[in-house]
Amino acid sequence: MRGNSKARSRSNAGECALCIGVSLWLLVVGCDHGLEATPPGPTGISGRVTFIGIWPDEVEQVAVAVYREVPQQLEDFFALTGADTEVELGAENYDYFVPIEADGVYQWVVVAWRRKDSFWDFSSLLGCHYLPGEELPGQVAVRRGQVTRDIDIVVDLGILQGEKIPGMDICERVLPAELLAVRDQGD
Amino acid sequence: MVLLGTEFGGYTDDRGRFEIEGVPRGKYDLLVSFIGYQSRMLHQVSAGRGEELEIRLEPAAIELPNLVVSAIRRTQTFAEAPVSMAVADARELAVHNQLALIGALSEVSGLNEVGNQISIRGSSGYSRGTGSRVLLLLDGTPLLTADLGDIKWDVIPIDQVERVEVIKGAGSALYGTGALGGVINVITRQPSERPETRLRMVSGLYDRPAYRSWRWTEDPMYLTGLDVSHSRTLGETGLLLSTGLQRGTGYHENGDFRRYRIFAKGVHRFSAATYWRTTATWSMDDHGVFIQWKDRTEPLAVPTIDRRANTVSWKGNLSSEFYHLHSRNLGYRLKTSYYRTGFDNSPEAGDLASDGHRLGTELQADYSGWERLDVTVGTAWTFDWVRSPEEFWGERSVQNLGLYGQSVYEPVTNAEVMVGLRYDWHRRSGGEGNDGSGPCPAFGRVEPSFEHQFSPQIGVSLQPRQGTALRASVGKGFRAPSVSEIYTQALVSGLRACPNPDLEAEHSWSCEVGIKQVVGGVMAVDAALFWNTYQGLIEGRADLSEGGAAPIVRFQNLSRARVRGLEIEQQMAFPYGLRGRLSYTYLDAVESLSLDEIPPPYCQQGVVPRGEAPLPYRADHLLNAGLFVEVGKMQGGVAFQYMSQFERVSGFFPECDRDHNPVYLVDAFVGLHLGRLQYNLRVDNLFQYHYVLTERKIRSPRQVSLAVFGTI
Repeated sequence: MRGNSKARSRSNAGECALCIGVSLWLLVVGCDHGLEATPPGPTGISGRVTFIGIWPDEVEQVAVAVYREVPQQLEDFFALTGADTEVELGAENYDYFVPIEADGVYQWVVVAWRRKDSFWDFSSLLGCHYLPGEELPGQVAVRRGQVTRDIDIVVDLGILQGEKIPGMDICERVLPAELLAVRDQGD
Repeated sequence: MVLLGTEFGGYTDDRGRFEIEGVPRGKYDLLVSFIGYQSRMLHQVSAGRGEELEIRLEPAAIELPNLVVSAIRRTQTFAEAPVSMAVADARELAVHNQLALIGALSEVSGLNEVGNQISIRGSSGYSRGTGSRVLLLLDGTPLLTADLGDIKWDVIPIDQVERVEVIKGAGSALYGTGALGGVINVITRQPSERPETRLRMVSGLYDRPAYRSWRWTEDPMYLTGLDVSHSRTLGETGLLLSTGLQRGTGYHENGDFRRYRIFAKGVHRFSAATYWRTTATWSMDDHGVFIQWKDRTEPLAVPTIDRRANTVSWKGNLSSEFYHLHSRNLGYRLKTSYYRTGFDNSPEAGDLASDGHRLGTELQADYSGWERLDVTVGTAWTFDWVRSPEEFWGERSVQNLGLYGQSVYEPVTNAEVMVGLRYDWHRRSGGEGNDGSGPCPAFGRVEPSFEHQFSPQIGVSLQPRQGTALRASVGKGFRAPSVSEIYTQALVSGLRACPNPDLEAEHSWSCEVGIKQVVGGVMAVDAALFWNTYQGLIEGRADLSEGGAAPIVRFQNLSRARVRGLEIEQQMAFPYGLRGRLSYTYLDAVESLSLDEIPPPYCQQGVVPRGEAPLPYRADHLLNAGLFVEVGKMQGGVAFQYMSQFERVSGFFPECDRDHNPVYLVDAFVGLHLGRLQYNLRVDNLFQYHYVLTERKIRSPRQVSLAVFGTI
């Protein structure tokens, strides 16, 4: 009988230790919830604008503008999604950032200029984003909370001297012919 | 009772009396087993009139599987299997309250699931649902799709699963291509002798995420499933019909699903030595597609452009098996099968579609006329035909032919040596190339190609004394790439998946040693060391040699890879109906980079040319533990799962493995048997642990479910 009692108490103690151990372990594991929520980060498009050539004196302002859809009419030029208007005049390079509110695909990322004592008009286009070897402007996908980087643009300032720049054909290829005709008439 | 090496067997009545009819004269090994009792093997039992046996079974605290059919394609005891195996029966699967079988396999040691793809001992990572290295069998018939070469879990009738046998390690010597990482054989119930109607209902709710900012809906998130089956025997024909319906919202946006399934099985016995079995399944799955989360701050929502991403898929399988025991020593079986699968994605999900057909036939003969030597020979042939739009896969066809032979020699009692050899011939058709009008660069016409391999395997099993079983095996593996791995071209998640017509088959060598030991009838331990080397392992890799708006991803053959490790599994019986289970798997999974390996565009730390890098999506440590109790009509249990953090992921996303953590999951259930029904209440992910396994997809939060099942 004594032998049986000892065996029983040893068994009870073992089971008790097991239960306590399991409970403590569950308590520790239960405190960790893994992946945590994070506050939203900036959303937008960033890149570098590289300027080739000499800056004319009549440049008042240069901006990088983002369009969700390519303008189809004159008034659409002003319906841009966002812009960085702080482009440093006279710089060889400028790292821009355009904040964007809604995620999606943006069809046209351009650089535009404004003459002194003048407003933005159709002749403001200096260049746009496109990938080497491509024949159309590059579309840019933006996700909320993220910055789409390396959307670079090269601007040949010779265009302001009336030179014909090959890259401009790519930028204008997506514009309606009627719109280009209006532009040419104005010229 | 089962006569080993034959299809003869039976059950006792409630007084323990049994009779196995139609057995040809001769001597057999008879295995007798019953739940809760130690199995007994009676060697060289004579069959004939007037033979009566008196058999006594002793109670057992530890229940180990008794019989397996998958290791050597014939019935043998679990202890005799020369390779590592796991067996899960219907009782063990039922406590998981799952709608699909893959969810119920999570506690099998050495198995883990990533992105709905099953991996055995690190053989697979994540290949976005294509090219499974685990071969799924349904009652011995292969069930991989012709186009993706993957497993469609919704076609498995979970309510009809009797048990699942898992071979851990290359099974190519017996099962051919597709079994490089292992084999899962799903064995369904036989039609019942008496009319029987079964019911299984599962209903559950997903809990809200722990963080309010993650909520994507205020509506309840639920899942529900209903399976009803009826079975009976008419004369010599047993029939079984099961239908199923599942619906749910899922726990994330685009997680909604509707599934329908029909499963039918008929077994006709021409005589005690001859039967013909036919199985038919059909399933349809209409569900939303979650490609990636909207962003890190809203991980359960989808990007606006993915809102209506949806896919409808359908699967139909018809398979037939004819078995005849020609004499005491010779039996043969002839199998035929047809498996058709297809899917149609909405434009938001990529606007992809496919229709795949797989036709197969197999003839196997078993001869045991020599003393202590059994021989199996066979041949298997499959033909795959895939039709899809030219800008996706085009029209492709593949043929596989396999010839295999295996001998099992018993030099002394309780020892077996298995020697097997398989020859696989794989041919894929040529076809038109790509004109470059899609997202991928152009490539020219593809010429037909073929590959072949001899896959030998040697295995040894030894039971030196009661309760001890030793095993060792070495074998070669082979897997031909699927149509999708070769020809996919699609724009997905900002990446361009492009074809690789030069993709070749994977080859491997696998070896392992292991021991099973029962200690004092209250503990069973299984330990194994394994080492697998791969040549040409197929993994998705970025190809930076061609520019463009989005990086190109292609499936490529890695030069060399290695997965080695250790696996230990322990079962324990405690007093008062308490049982414990503990399993641990350690993996060392690496690839050797050749000089011209092109690393991914991101996550390059630790990835250098000519060096070794971890294989993606393999966890070094897998731990499963569980405590279960059964008292009278009540059962309960708690299970814990730990998976260490992946050392490396795909490298296709700039955040790399930022969101990956080690995984700690706790599940608990209570069950009650009332009348003819079993009630299971279960909580999965009890402590709401949020984690990802594949990038930009968070896994299920806490889920409460109630299952009711039984006969009505």
